Amino acid sequence: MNWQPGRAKLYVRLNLFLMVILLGLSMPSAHAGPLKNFGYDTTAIGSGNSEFAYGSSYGVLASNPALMSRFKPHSGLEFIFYKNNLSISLMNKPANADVPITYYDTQVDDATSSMDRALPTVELRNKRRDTEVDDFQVMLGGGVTYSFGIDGFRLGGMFVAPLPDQAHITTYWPHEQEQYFSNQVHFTRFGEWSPMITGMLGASYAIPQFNYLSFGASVEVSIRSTAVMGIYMPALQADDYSKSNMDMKMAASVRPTVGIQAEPLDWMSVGLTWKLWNYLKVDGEGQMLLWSYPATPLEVGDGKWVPKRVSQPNHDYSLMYEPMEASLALGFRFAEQWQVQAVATWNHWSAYRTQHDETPEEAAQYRDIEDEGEVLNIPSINGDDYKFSDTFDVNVGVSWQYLDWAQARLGFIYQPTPVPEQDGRTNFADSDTWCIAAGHRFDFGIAESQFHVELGLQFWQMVKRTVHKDPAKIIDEAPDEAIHIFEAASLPALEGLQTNNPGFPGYSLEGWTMVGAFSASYEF
Amino acid sequence: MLYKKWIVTIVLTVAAWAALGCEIDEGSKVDVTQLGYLSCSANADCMPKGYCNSSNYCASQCRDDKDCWQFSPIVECCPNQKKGDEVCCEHALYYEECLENPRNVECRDQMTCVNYQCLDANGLDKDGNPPAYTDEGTAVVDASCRYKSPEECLEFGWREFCGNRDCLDYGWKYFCDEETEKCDVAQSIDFGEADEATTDDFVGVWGGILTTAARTKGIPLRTFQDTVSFHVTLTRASLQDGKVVFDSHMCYMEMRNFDEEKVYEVGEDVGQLIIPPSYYNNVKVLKHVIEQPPAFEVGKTFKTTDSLEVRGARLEDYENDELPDRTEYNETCEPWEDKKDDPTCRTNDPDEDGKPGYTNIGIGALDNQETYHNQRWSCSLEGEIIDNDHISGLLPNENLQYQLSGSVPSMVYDIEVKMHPDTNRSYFRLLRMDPDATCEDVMAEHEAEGGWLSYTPFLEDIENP
Repeated sequence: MNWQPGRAKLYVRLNLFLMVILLGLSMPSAHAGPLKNFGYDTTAIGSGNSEFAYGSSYGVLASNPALMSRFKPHSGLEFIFYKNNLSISLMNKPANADVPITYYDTQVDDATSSMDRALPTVELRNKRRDTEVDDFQVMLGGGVTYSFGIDGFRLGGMFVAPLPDQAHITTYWPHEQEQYFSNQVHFTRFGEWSPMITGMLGASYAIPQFNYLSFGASVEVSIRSTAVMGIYMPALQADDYSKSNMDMKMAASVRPTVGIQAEPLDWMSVGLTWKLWNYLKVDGEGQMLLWSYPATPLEVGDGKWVPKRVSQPNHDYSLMYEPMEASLALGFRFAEQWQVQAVATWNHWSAYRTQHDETPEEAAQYRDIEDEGEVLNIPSINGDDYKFSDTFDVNVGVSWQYLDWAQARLGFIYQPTPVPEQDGRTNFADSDTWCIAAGHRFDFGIAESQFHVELGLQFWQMVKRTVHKDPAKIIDEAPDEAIHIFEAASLPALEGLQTNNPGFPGYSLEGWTMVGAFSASYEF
Repeated sequence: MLYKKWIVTIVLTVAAWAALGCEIDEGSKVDVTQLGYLSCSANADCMPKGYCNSSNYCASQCRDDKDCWQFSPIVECCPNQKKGDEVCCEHALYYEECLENPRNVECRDQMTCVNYQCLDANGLDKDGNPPAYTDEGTAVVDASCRYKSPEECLEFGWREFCGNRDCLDYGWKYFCDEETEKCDVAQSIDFGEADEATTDDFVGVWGGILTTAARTKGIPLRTFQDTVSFHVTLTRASLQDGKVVFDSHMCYMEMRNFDEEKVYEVGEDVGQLIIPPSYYNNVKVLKHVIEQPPAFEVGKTFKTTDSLEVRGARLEDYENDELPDRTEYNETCEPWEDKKDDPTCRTNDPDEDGKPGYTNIGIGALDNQETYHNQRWSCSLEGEIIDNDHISGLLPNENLQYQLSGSVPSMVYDIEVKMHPDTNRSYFRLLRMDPDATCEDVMAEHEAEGGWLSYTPFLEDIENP
């Protein structure tokens, strides 16, 4: 067979296309993390993630996949980084608000049968302290769109992989139970992302006969997992020794995005996108077998002697929650050189689930503690006060083609926080964020091939937010009713409010994030 | 170019507005005076377990060693380098020296280990069981006993007639023959100034149950553990100098865990300590004295003197000398095999199992591991005469206990034992028995469901006859 330059080009295109598709399909999970805010590629980053009505790169798979039919098929590689400088400063806590070590000497059962008991403050693994988020994260990405010679049709795929680890997930409790772990307040929506490899596949079609309309859809692939940990403890005293086995099941789930774009006029475009919610669901369960006498028929109640087994089913997680979104975009072209588009995105944050698979209103109402047993003096909380709000984000982008081979971009983003006033139990740390973006694209040719490189920058600012707690809404973790086990008397040192809630008596948060991106693309 | 200016102006204006225009401030600052802390002017205002801090609020975190002594005498207030504040911590680590201490299940010399108890191999029956106290005396005459002279008895802190203890199981008439070391029977029971047992006065032989409910803190994985120990006794009431003297020989002891809801039978809880026979067969005969006995009439009440017993320690003054704690034990008695007879070692081995002090055995999740401890405890009887054959009342008691060592390091921890705050859980009941009654007779009454000597969680659980 004779080797022909045209056929070689086709092989290169197909190989590139297959490589990206395979990468997208092999993603163990696909979650956006920071990219929901920044945009998924350099073009989106440089234009303030505003490409919903007009688009020029495969990053539209995440914003409006219908736009793929509007630009030349191409393939590219991305280098993205971001640097955070965000902080949560805790207010000084009154000394008497610490849970004293004498709490160990009390008959806690008199006041609460809940297992969610505070540790004495000095016994906590970590001291209550400010949170400083100053991550520097690098990501490598790539994408492709291809027409297969079909007029108006595009198939596209893309991935973004954080480096060096492709997945790093950390979870936190949003209230006093974080005392057992980091003992800090953590950012909820923006700033403390869990880097995770991201992949997306999609297709678009603009019917040639009705070329002013284009339709597109894409999917993010995510994993739903169930993990059962079996533990055998031969001796309760030997708490540093046990045997375990893991039974883990994983199943794929997808997050679809559907988009429409219409260009009723040469100088105007309308984009409409709907995106389903997405989160990584983990159903965890622990099963423990103890070396001990079996449970008696009296305990079991069915006339059998049963080995002592303990099951802990409530280890469910909802990680990296992203809300359902609907976006409406309007774009205009002026004088062949200017392009302006503005997007309003509705985010269904009111359906938010915390990392431990609760709603914020459930977490705020101490329901987990109430479920564990009878508790005295549990604050009465109206959960609706703590429900997250649906929000409207605004993205605006402007591009200027000032030379045939050079295009400049500017963008602006405003994202109001969905988190209501946190004067009660929960510490969902978040505030309004805004961003200014700038980008540039250079086109050039080598031999018969056409290339372009792009740069994108974003500067994000989180508006300072100060939270003061209402003591009446904070549970007294060392109840006044807890009497001394020997003295049979209450302890004066336990009177008043003691809590290990790291957010008490208040905190303030603010900071900024810088994002940079570079890409090089080859046009088919 | 007009568009360019227009757009850039809008973008910059919006950005400047966002940057400068807003800061969110929610709620009002917490007022410390509204948080409900107890104001104070002196430490006394903050008792128990507290002090008045510099803000004039009651607090109980440690400032100095004194604030830590509430947890244990061997705990001090020391800087927590990791966290930069003060915490209570132990003076020293104790475990290392115990790691090399092998678990000794061998019995000494000619002794054989039966049911945790070292017994004289010659005294076992053909099936290898210890001598039974059944068959009305046939086993008694030939039963082996370990004779101890009054001097040896007093060295253990026991009563001077402790040499007879092995034989008292068979009745208060029996004693241990010094020469043959066999149990023998006397002509009569020594009731002191009374010639013989009565049926309408204190003097006589009684079966007893003495129940002490305690709360122990410092146990790993538990804030505290409630336990009840019941002592089944064969008690002689005699008359001496016009006073009534109760001498209670221990037939049986058992310890159970309990919580508010339930008392756990032995083996029912996930893990618990049991009292082996080698323990309760080697304890002092308790002595309670009614200094001014009331007339023996229904409804009359009395209070006895305290019966003090020191277990597992060799003291000059059993009443006042400090009980050796684990620090002293480690310094003066370890390695145990080499130093147990050293005069500086104040720990002895009354249960004769080769381990220091008294041995409890952990069952269930405690993996049959052993813990060795000493103890000073005392109790008195606050009784009421129910009728000619029944007496009952409360049993106030005090308890100091140190864990000295264990078969594994995890069985060694600092504990503090106190009488359970619910005083009705610590009680006694006495039932008049035939003067020839044996421990077996008392045990039969103890095991009879609902019987006067059966264990119940509270004193009032059995109605007066």
